[in-house]
Amino acid sequence: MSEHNPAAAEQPAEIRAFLEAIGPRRLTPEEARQLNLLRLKHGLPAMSVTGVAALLADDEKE
Amino acid sequence: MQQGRVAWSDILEGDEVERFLKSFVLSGEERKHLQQAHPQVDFSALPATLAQVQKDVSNIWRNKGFLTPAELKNELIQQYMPDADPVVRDFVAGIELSRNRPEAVTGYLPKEHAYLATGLAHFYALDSGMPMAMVEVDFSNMGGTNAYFRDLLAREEGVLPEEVEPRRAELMTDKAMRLLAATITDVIAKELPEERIIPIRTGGDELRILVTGLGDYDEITTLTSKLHGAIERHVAGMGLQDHKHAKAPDDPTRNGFGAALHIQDMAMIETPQTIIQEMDGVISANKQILGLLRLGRIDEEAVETEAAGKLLRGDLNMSAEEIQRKIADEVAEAKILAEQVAQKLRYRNPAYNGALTGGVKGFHAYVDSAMPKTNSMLFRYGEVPPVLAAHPMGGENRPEGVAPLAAQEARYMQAALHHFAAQGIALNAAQRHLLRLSIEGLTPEDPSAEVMMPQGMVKTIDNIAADTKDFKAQFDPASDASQRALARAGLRDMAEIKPYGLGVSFHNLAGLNNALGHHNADLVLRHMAKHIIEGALEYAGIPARDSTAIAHHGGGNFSVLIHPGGVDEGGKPWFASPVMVNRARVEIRKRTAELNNTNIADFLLRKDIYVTAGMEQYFADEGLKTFADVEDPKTRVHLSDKGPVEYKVNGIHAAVSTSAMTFDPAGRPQMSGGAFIGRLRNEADEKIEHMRAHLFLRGHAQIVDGNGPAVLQDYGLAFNEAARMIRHSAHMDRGLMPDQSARREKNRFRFQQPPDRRGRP
Repeated sequence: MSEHNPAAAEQPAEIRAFLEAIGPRRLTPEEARQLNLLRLKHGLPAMSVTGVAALLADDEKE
Repeated sequence: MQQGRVAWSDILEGDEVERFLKSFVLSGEERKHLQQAHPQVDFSALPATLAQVQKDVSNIWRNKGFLTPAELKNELIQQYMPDADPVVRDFVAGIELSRNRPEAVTGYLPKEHAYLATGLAHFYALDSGMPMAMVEVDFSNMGGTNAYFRDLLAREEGVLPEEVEPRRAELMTDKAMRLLAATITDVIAKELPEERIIPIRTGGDELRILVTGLGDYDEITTLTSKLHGAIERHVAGMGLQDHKHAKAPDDPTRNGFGAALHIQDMAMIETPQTIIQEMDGVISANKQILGLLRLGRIDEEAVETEAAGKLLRGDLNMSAEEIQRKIADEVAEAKILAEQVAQKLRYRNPAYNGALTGGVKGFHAYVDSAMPKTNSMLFRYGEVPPVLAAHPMGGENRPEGVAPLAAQEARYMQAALHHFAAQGIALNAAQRHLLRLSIEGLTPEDPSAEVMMPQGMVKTIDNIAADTKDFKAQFDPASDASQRALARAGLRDMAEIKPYGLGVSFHNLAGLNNALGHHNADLVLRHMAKHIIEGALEYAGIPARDSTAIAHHGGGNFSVLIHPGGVDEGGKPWFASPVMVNRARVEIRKRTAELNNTNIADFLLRKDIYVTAGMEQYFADEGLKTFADVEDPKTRVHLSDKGPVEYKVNGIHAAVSTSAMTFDPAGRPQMSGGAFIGRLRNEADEKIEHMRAHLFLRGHAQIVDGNGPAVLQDYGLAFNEAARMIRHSAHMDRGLMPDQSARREKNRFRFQQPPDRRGRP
């Protein structure tokens, strides 16, 4: 069982402000993309483009 | 969770958890009442406070780990009836384990468990401090995939797609969905073999998997990549990468079938009200990235941002030039990788690789060979005790001691007590209380709408239909009370007394979800069930709480059962009639129109939702003043003599189909509650389709690419078409009120909104 990463105990203020500005609704595709960029910027768990690409390009890693 | 530190509102679906825990509490007043009635019974094992139940739950988690809601409920009930006969304990365990029965397509737990399981998982994360993650999965293009399979079947069979039974194509999409669902749990189980994995199908194209022990960010990121990798390989192997998206046929990045996901550390949920919306956003971004990868392309900005983030959090001594160079290298490498990905996926895809078997046969062979078997090992489930599985339990099969038209739970309870009595087992009041608690779960609620799930409705209809004869036999037709009740209902004699069914279809649930998010849209859905439908039944003179059943069938679809009658609070009989049913139908439409006139912020405030300044600003920016402003996300097409015109029907609208229930499941086994409700729902769906077209023709729709009123003036066919619609709808109503239905249909739109900023005239 893994431990929590204590460095990431709070949502970064930039992401919180971004989401608050959007309000309670479904994000548009562009807003979704921007949210993902913010997560990548702040090191929050997100899908890594290079991670998935490397995995798919390598048949050994099945 | 320590008492007083975290409020239920801080927990995702916290109200569900609170309700679940409270159901075990025997309050002081209830305890006193029961103790007086049963002085010999020991009620001390039953918890007196919510805090006590919370403590018991924490102890169970500590000893047994995280459990499914049914497993947890079983543990609590077993603890609270320590002296019960082992036969009773096994019986309850049987009931609860039967609730773990997976749903047919994915093999996951069904939706009825979604909110409580999620809430308990969040509660577990905060209470135990142990890692707990939630994997949210959204499938792509189910509609387009159905169409693709229909075309494929037609091509291979040499017929037109319209000649292929749609269900055959849907079953193939279901099979593809099952492979991906099973693959997701298989990958997680292999990565985390020691952890508890609880998968739930939360919607038609949505899954949620709760996983203990997953909280480390690097581990989550790695697992996210592995899961997407496994999904993409299977999508290619099934040959499902390229068909057009049903809603975006011109965007090649959205082509094909698939699934994207996001993993959320549940200890990190700051705003439960919007976390699902946030997760959906990340999933949408992942779909865009995967769509590009399939085509051998990358989102350069995403690669740059990820690389920059890693570099800036790593070696702080690196110069700006070095950072820029490394980022550029990463992007260049990612571009090469993306091209390789597209090639590798095509190599797996029978549409590109002639060495692979394609077509329908190839699809089935691929899925059959690739299907992992992990799901069956994730949770145990059993059959419901045979005495409770008997169906129908109405008419001559009604358990002894149960009155005609009794609730489903009363039938189950009495059948169980007879079962125990036959074995010489007597249950005391405390044990009966707990048995009832378990039995209530056999008629589960849909957590979104907080009304019955469809399977409960089917059984209820069969039983009420079978009971109607016995219900009528309770009354002396010649008595003054019966004659007065018949006159009030507008019926001539007892033979005209029947139960009724309603199919209610609300338009634009998807728009509500988009505009308000899932959490707030659920509040509207509950308003539809309680205020609009149940309120309309009460208004029509039907004691809704005791004499009706309402079920939610997903989206904006509900079904309603109205008993043939009953006895009111004053002891007087009442009988259901076409007049009452029609009054309820008109009232449902009226109340829906009132919802359209309701200010959204005011509505949310009345539901105890704190409307922030940000939300107010959002409503102002989006022009969302009332529910009539909720935009239809789907663009619809009207084919006129001037060419196709695209339009949207904004706001919330309702169509209602009605029918008397005239079958007796005992006498006519070829009929069933399922078939009856299916027909009503189809009629309601058909009506809502016609209503959308009608609203467009009457100028109450938003024209997508032009000025609404100006465009509408061009339609020579408009009024003829409208008249045809009216005739069609009237024909559909004829079974109920043939002489009035056409007039009602003409007046149907009198409650529609005045012109608004979205172009509705």
